[in-house]
Amino acid sequence: MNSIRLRRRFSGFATKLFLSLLLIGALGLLYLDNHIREQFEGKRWAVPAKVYARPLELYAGSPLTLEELRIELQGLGYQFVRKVTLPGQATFFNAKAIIHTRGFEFTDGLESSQRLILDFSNGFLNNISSAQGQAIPLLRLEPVLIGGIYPLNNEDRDLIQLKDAPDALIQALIAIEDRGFYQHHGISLRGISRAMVANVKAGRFIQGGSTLTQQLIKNFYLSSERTLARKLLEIPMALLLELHYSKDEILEAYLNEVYVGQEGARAIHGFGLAAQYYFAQPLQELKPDQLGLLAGLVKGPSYYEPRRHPQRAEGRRNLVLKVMHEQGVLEETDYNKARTRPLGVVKQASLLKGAYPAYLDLVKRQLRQDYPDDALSSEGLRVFTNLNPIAQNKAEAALTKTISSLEKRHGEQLAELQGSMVVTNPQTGEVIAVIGGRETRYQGFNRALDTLRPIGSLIKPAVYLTAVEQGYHLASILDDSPFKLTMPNGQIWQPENFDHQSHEHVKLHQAMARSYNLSTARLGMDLGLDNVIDTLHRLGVVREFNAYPSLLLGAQGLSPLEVAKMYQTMASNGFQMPLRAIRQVTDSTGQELSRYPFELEQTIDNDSMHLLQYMLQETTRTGTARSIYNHLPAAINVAGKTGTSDLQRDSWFAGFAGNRLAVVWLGLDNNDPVPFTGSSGALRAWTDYMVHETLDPFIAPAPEEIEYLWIDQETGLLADAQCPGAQQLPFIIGNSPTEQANCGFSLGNDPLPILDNWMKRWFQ
Amino acid sequence: MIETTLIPRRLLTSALLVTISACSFAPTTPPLVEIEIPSEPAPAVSIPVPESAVISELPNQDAINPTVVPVSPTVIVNNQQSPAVVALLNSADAAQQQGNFKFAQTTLQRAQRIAPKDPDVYYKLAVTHCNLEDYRLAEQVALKGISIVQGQTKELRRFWLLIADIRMQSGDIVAAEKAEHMASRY
Repeated sequence: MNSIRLRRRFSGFATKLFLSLLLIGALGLLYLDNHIREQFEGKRWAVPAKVYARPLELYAGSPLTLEELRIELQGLGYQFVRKVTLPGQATFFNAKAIIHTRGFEFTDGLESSQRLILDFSNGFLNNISSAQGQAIPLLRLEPVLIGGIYPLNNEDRDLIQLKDAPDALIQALIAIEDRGFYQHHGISLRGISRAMVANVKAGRFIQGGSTLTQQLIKNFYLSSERTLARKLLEIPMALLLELHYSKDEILEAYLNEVYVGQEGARAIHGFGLAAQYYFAQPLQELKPDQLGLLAGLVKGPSYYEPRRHPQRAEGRRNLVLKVMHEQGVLEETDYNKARTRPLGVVKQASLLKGAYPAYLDLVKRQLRQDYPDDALSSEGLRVFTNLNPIAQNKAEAALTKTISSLEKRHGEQLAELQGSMVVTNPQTGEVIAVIGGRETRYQGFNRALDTLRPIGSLIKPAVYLTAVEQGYHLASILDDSPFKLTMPNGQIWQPENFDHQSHEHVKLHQAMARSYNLSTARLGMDLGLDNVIDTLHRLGVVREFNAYPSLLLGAQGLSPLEVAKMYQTMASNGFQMPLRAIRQVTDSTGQELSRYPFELEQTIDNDSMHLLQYMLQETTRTGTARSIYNHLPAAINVAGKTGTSDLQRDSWFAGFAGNRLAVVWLGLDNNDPVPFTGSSGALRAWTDYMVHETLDPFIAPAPEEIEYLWIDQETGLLADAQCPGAQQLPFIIGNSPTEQANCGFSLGNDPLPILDNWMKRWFQ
Repeated sequence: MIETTLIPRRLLTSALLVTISACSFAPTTPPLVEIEIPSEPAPAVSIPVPESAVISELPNQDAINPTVVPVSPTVIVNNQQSPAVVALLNSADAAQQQGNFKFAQTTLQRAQRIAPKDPDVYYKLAVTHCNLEDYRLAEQVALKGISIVQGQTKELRRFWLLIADIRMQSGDIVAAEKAEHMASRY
């Protein structure tokens, strides 16, 4: 009885256990099923925001050289070929280029893919015509992708649709990874047994036997650990996935999910991005050998890494090509051609994605004001920026060249010389290039935004602008004699001129152009520190300043970006403009989410600004920055200011032509002095950059209230145009010298050469 | 009231000012070619012509050479609009008329990058902002236009009339009349 009862009780228990397990199993399966569907149908991937450079505008008369077009096309991964037949190809000969654009769907219209003939001469694009010979007034190239904003797991991908994937890629994948893909239901017993046979034959593990579906499950839902539990889960999940979704859906997910490489912390996922990462081309443009390589990488992205292990990669590629040939995917001639081709993987350094970390940093900071982090890293937003890769390229070349030549000249003490640079379009306030340090691709400390270094004489325009606003004119006489100032805390402030000389009485415009410290400090104290600070704010500097006298000589720090904003206001006739890195943000389908249009606000009146602009031009013509014209043609009018901080720790130059404004900073991170000034350091990089740009001269039409008068250089009094030493200066009508100079006869230590000159003319 | 043209126009009375309901926009604004280049051009700090400073015979005492200080030559008015700019302005005009002001704004900014000193670009952009009811920005853009057409009386008049219009739209009739007065000076 007992045993029967026991048996009954046991069988009851077993049934209960069995039922419970069944229930748990079923619940587990339901849970899995739910999990699979939720993730597959919901947001499958966190797609990083894509950040684009400005699209290059092509139009007849645009300042563009063949070489500059080449930089842009290389950034876009165009193939330079003999005969242009497909999108993404280009050929250059003599002064012509033939390109086949890929087309791009901008929010404001589609730029269609077309073949174009471009004619160049003298630094300009002269003419654009279609293949049919029709003149085209203007078009935009597709924009260069310069970066992404990645989620915490650092996964980067470009989503593609199945219809955009080349057939050869899919056939290659199926041939090499899962021949039975279209027949099986998620797992392939034949595949597993074939793999086992192959493994036994080889005596080691060479095949996995996982189907594409299983591989997708592995990548998609499970951690990368190789555990038994994971292996056990993989099979029911693969079956469930196949139950719910079509082969095409699974294949599309696979193409986007698969892991194919690693660049530092950034994980390269999916074939869309793989094509860009390895070949700098869109997937659709790849040839069979390139597709074969990508398909082959799936098995071991780091083992077959083509940049580090080209031989392994080539072996793997050729194996894939062989299988493709055997399976009838690749014909004999194509196969022979493909397997003899070089790998053709582009150098990592030539990829523009990730090439501009400092600019991208600025973009991210501006974006974060309007978008939460997770939206940026997961919604697939498209961010259109103002970065101009051609200008950035030239700025980087100029800065690094200057740094290395300064290092060569000054040796050891400058081994760690650093620099940064900001370039804008002074007409629009668009930021077109940013360099954060000498290693331009290094994603580290961004000196263009984050170094706050004393700006030295770069501050002087604010002092002189305050002066003309308060009624000084350019010929006002300033006292440049030494002085001491006892501060409230008992400290003594005793500024000095750079040459340690006093220049006694100087004209206001000369004190500025020659960057005299004593007269500037005296002037600034006279004007009032608060007024100078107010001017700084009206020039666009948002930072608070301490009202210390040393402020007048630039003892307080600004970042190069802040300096750019300040000088932008000077370049644009007193209109303050936000410095914009971003033009527009759209969602992943191209719908506009936000735009950042041209903005401005006049904060300095035209007349006063005109006087300041004159002095900034005098600085570049005859003042501390005159070396510019050893390199720039005289017809290119530019304006700017040198800056050297106390003890020569910082070398600055800020200046502009009509279409470019650039700020350069050079110095050491440890704040040690450098053996050069603003003129002999930063200005060289600035000039070298400007020389390589196609410049418009800076032209400021004089406002109505401005008159130009001839002024005697010595006395600052009115003179006649014929007077030797007379100079034309601008004045606000009603505020100018009224007394007439004696035409240079009465003054001057050495009147003879002047007399000589004067008499020569008289008798001519 | 899109057909309200700006030029020619006399001083408007306040009463009339209030009745206008949209920013005036003249699709047939005079092309730049017709812009008067003043017979006595306004001086500008611009391309210095070293020879015109004349005193080149003066001995150079030191590195500061007085012979190349910028002087004030004539304003060089480039009265040629490139086909690219014409195409963009036309497309902006069309968008304005269809009420697609955002498109007009984008297109005009493209034009601005190509021809940042073309008064038409700023004129039309100011009209666009006015239509977008951003009167502050509209006026600022028009003022920027004024800063680049110094010395060109017809242009100055056109821009001041536009500012009058913008101020009127924003409801500031007193300021609008001031702008009208400015316009009447040219």
